[in-house]
Amino acid sequence: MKNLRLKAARAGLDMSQQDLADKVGVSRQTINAIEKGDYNPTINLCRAICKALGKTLDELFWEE
Amino acid sequence: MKKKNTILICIMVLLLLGIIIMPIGFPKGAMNNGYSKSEWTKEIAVKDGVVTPKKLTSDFTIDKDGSYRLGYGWMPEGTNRNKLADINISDVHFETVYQIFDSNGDQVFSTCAGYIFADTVIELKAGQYSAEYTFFTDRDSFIEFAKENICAARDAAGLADDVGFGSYGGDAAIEMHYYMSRQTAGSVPLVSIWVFLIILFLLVLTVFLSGLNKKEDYDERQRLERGKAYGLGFFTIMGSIFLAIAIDLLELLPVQGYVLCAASIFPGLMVFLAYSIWHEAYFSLKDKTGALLGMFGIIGAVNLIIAVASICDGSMIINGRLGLKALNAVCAVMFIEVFVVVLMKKISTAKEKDEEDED
Repeated sequence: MKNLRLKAARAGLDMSQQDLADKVGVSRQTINAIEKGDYNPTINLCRAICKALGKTLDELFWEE
Repeated sequence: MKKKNTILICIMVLLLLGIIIMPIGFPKGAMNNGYSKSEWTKEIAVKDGVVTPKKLTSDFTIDKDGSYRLGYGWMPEGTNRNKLADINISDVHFETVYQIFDSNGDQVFSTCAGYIFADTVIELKAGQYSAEYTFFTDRDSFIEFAKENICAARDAAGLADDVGFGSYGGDAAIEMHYYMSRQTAGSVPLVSIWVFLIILFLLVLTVFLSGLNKKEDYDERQRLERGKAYGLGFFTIMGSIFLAIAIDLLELLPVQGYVLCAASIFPGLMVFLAYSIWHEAYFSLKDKTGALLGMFGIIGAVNLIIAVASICDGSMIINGRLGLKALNAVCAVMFIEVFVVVLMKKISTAKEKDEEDED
């Protein structure tokens, strides 16, 4: 399932996938895969993304 | 990180030096194991089926009882030992029978061939020995000699058939190079053991250090994908090894066994490379794909050129079977595959980026 909330949060900060990838220390393709729902990140990476985007885990990764 | 890279470069240089030194170490070490070698050149002439001289003799002494590795060889002067298999039978003009006799005149070893280099392990008592080289150009006298000296009468004719006298060339005068070496069997040269151990240690250290480097360079998704790629590569290698065994046993393809063995690794490698590159898990976060793409392209092209050249000069086929140079073709296919997959991935990534920009 696509993670549109992550994409929106990133776009809201005017960050490209590469910018976010550099900030959390992963490849751009990994961010792309998470946004497309092709890869389920570990909790450590989720936390790093949340910190980089100033969001909580619930806001970005919790499915309602 | 820079310090680690410097250590790695130093180790690589030492490894290279070790690999260069190792073959030098063998004869040096061999001196400690009773190694001695004698070699000489002699013209052997064949005229109207008569060989001159008929026989050559070389004496040697064994100081103490034991197991010895005897090396022996006879080839035309200047023959490349690695290309002995390429010599046509018509290039051979006479058969050489090689015998070793002890001081009582009893034969302790014998062999025969047109041209040869080989070695054998043999138990020898201390004493004086004589090596005799006897030459033959016709089948009948060879059979008579073989019956008495080499093998049972029933095997002598079969041996003569294997020798292929009918195809030998006619008159000739050939400068033959002879050598004979002796060494205590089962002993490994001391210098080479040390060089080998040092190389092994450096190799392990290199793998360990480069492994430490790599760990930090892949993110979690890349490590996961690399694991999948290794798995796929492993099962592909399993399959290709079974296929290679089948090809060898059933003789489905005219390929040398060692080439088949080496080539069976490549399909697994290609699967690993293609999968990991396509899933962006081959290159680490710090790798510059542009430079590597150029390198893969160049290596692929060089291998392709070597493969095409060896097809043109016929050196790819040895004794009617694909030889070692066929691996250049396999290598070329692998690097070209990598080049193409990396290029396709680059195009696909560029498209993704464009789509992201549009979003």
